Amino acid sequence: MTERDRSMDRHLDRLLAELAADAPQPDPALLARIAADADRLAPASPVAAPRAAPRAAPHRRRRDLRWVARSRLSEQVRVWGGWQGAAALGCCLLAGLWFGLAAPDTVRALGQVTDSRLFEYDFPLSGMGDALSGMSMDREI
Amino acid sequence: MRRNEAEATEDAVLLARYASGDRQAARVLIERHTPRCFGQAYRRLADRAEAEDVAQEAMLRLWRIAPDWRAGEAMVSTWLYRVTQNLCTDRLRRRGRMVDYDEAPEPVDDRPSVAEKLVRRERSTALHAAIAELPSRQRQALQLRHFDEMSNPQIAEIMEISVEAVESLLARARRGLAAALAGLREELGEG
Repeated sequence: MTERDRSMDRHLDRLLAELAADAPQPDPALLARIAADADRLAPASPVAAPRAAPRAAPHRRRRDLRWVARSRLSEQVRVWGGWQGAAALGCCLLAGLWFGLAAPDTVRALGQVTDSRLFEYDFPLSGMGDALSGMSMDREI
Repeated sequence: MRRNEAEATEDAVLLARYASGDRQAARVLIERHTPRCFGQAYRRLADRAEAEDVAQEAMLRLWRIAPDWRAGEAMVSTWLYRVTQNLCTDRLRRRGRMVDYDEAPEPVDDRPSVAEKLVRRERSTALHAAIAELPSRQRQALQLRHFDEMSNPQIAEIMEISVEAVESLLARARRGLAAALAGLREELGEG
């Protein structure tokens, strides 16, 4: 190939490249129409479905934790006999705490009555023995 | 792997992904192939609206064939080229005439300089005329190579000839163009 041929070749390449660059480009509206066709004819998307899931995951997870806590509580309440039972149990609990921490005198006296020594030796039903013997029953019974 | 081969493999993968429901794959194929289809149709039909219809129809056929596409049997680019060619031929038959290159409207040039526009338009006209004078097979090979950016094996597949025959056609086309343009160097802004 002579220098003249090479020069003509380069010249030709440049002209053809220029012509190719000048070629009309498709309108964005055409691209949009073709994309709409593609969407319309696309089969049901097994790829798109899992893609949506991870985006929703963080919200769902937080909601799940709350949901789990709520469901466990309601399950426990159901075991206690509903909200009324749970309220009664709560009252008993509070009363127990109150008696334990700052019991009134009457409650403290009750505690003394149930003391085991008092019950064994100073049982206030001493007259009952005679009555029982009169009925031919031994006191020791 | 050469660019065209890599692109062909990627096209097949994208089409398979589209067939399994991935719409994003279709977007890539649209961006890659629509300009080619449209340019090819515009060169043959010399009518923007008709070229758009042809490009849309060719791509529509691609979406329809996607589930049955068998990778390795054909390249998406060559398949689309053939479909576009056939659609253009149908339209030209309906019109009842073939469009010559010198009848084709000049591409729009939005450069600000009027002088440059004129020179460029003259150059473009002269080149279009010279290409139109080439024998049809040489012209087709040249267009596929330079305007559709296809590789020689792809051109060989489209034209159903060997790669060596493509090289020979291209060489003859370039020699013919060079001869036609030799006397027009001044007109082409090279004088």
